[in-house]
Amino acid sequence: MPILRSSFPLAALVALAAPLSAQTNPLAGDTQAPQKATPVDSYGGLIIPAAERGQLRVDPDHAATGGVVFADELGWYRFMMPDGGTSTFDGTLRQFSFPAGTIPTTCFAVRVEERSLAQFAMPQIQAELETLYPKFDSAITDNGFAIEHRESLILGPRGATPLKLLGWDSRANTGVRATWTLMPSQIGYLLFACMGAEPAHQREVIQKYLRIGSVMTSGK
Amino acid sequence: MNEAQWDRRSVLGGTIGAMGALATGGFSAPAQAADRMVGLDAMSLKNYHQVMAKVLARTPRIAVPSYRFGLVMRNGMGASGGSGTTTVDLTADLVGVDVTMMRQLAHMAFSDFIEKLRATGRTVLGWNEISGSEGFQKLEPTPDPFVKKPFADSRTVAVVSPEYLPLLTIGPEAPLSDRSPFNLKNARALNAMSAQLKCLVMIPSLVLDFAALTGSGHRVYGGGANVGIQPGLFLVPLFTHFNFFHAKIALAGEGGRLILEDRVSVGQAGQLVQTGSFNNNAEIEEWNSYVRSNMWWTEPNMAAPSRPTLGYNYSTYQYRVDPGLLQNAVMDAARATHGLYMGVINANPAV
Repeated sequence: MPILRSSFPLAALVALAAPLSAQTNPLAGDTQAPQKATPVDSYGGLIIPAAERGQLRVDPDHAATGGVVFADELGWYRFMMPDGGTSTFDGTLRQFSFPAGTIPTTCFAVRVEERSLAQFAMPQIQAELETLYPKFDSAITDNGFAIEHRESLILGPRGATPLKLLGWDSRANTGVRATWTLMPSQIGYLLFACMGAEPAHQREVIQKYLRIGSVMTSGK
Repeated sequence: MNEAQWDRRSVLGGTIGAMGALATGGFSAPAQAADRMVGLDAMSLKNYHQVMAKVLARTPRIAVPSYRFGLVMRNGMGASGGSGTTTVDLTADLVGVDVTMMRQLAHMAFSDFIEKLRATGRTVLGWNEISGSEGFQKLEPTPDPFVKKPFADSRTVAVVSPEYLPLLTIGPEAPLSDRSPFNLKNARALNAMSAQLKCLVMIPSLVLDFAALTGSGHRVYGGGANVGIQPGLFLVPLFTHFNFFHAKIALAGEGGRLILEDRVSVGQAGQLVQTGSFNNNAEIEEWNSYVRSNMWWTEPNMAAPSRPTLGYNYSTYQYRVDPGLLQNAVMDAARATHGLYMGVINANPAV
C-alpha cells in the first residue's frame, strides 16, 4: 500500500465550483498539420520512448498554450498539462500543479511495485476490475479520506480497447475532496489522485490528461 | 380474483390481474429489458452495425461540419388487458436539463471527438476551410434545438449541436430528421464538400434516453396489464450512429455508417420520482378485500361494495438529473463511443 506522507499539500488546494466554460470550436482557424498518431500497444497502453521518460517536455500538440507533458521515469504513465504546469518529485510521490480551465488543480502519482496480480493477463485484470475495490479501498482510507463514491473511470481511449481504472471520490476531514484512481497491472499499480474542485472536474482531468504506459499493460 | 392469483401477483411485483392496474418503478422492471442491455464498459463493435467502413480509407483528410447530441425528454408506455377493461399508462419526463446545458454537453463531446480524431494522425480540416467550401454554403441547417416525436414512437427527442456548429440532418436519417427521405439537398451538399475539399465528411450522433420502459402491450383475452420503468441513462440504438461520406464528384458519392444496435447502459444521472398517479386501486382493493373476507357468504344481507368494471392507473414520473452526474455520464458515453469509432478509423488506414 502506498504511504502518502503528512506533507500532502492539502492546504494549497483551492476548491472552486466548476464554471460553465465558454464554447470554443476546436476546429477554429486553419487546418492544422496532422498529429503523429499516438503509438499504443495491443492492450491500449501508450508506448513511451525511453528518451522521453523522466522529463517534463513541451507538448507539441499544445505548444501554443504553453502545454507540457511528463512521462514517468519507468514508463508507467504520461500526464499532460495543456495550459502549462509544474512537477516535483520527493522520492515517492510525484506532484503536478497546473491550471485546468480556470481551476488550479493538483495531482499526485505514486508507483507501487508488487506482483500479486502477476499471474493474470491484462485483459483479465481489466475484465474483473470491479472486484478489486475491496482490495484497494484501504489505499484511500489509510490516508485519512472517507470514500463517498466508487465508480470506475475510462481513460481517453485511443483504440477499440479503452483502459479502465478503479475510481473513488473521497473527502478528508478538512473538507478537501479528492478523486483517486488506481490502475492495477501485473507489475504493480499506479495510484493517481487529483484535487482541485468537485469530483466531476477531477475525473475530467484524469480522463483527459492521464495515459497509461505500455510498461504497465504489456511490460514493454 | 382468488387468493392464489393475488399471491402470484405480489410475487410478480408489477403484473396485475383482471381488475387491477399498476405502474411500477425501479427494481420491479421486467428482467427481459436488462437482458437486451449492454453495460458501457462492455460495449464493443459487436453492438454496432457497420456499413461500408472501407470508405474511411479513401483519404486521410477529414471534415466534421456538425455534431449532434440528443436527449429523450419524454417517454411513455401504455398497456391494456381484457379488451381495455384494464389500462395502465406511464409518462416520464426528463427534468433539470435546458438547451444551454445540452449545447455545453454537445460542445464537450464534440471536443473529445476532435481530440481523438486528431490523435489518429489524420488531417482534421479547420473551420476556415470547411465553412469556406461551396458545399457548406449549400447546407440547410435544421433549427436548433430540434425536437421530434417520431411517428409511432412514444419518445420525444431534443437534438442540439454545439453553439458554433450548424445542426445538420439528411433525409435517410429518419426518423430523427426534419426532412423527407427524398430530400437529398444536404446529402448533395456534403458530397460537394467532400469532392471540393478532397476529404471524408463525418457527422456523429449521440443520443441518450433516461429510462427503459417495458409493457405487456394491448391484450384482448388476457386480463392483466403491466408497464415498468427502469431509470438510468442509456445510449439509444439507431439514434446513436456515426455517418461518413466521400465523393469524387459533387453529384454523387458513397457513405458508410456505424449504427448502435443495442441499448447501452451508461449509469445513473439523477433520481426517478413519481409525481402523479390517477387510479382506482382503492376501489379494486375494497372489492378484493370483500371477496377474500368471506362476508359475501357469512353476511349475505350486508351492503356489498360494487364490483369495479374497469381497472386503470395513469402514472407520471420525472427523472430529475444532477447536472454533474449527467455531464459525467454523457462524457463517459461519448468517450467510449468515440473510442470505438477511432478503432474503426484506425482499422481502415488511408493510403
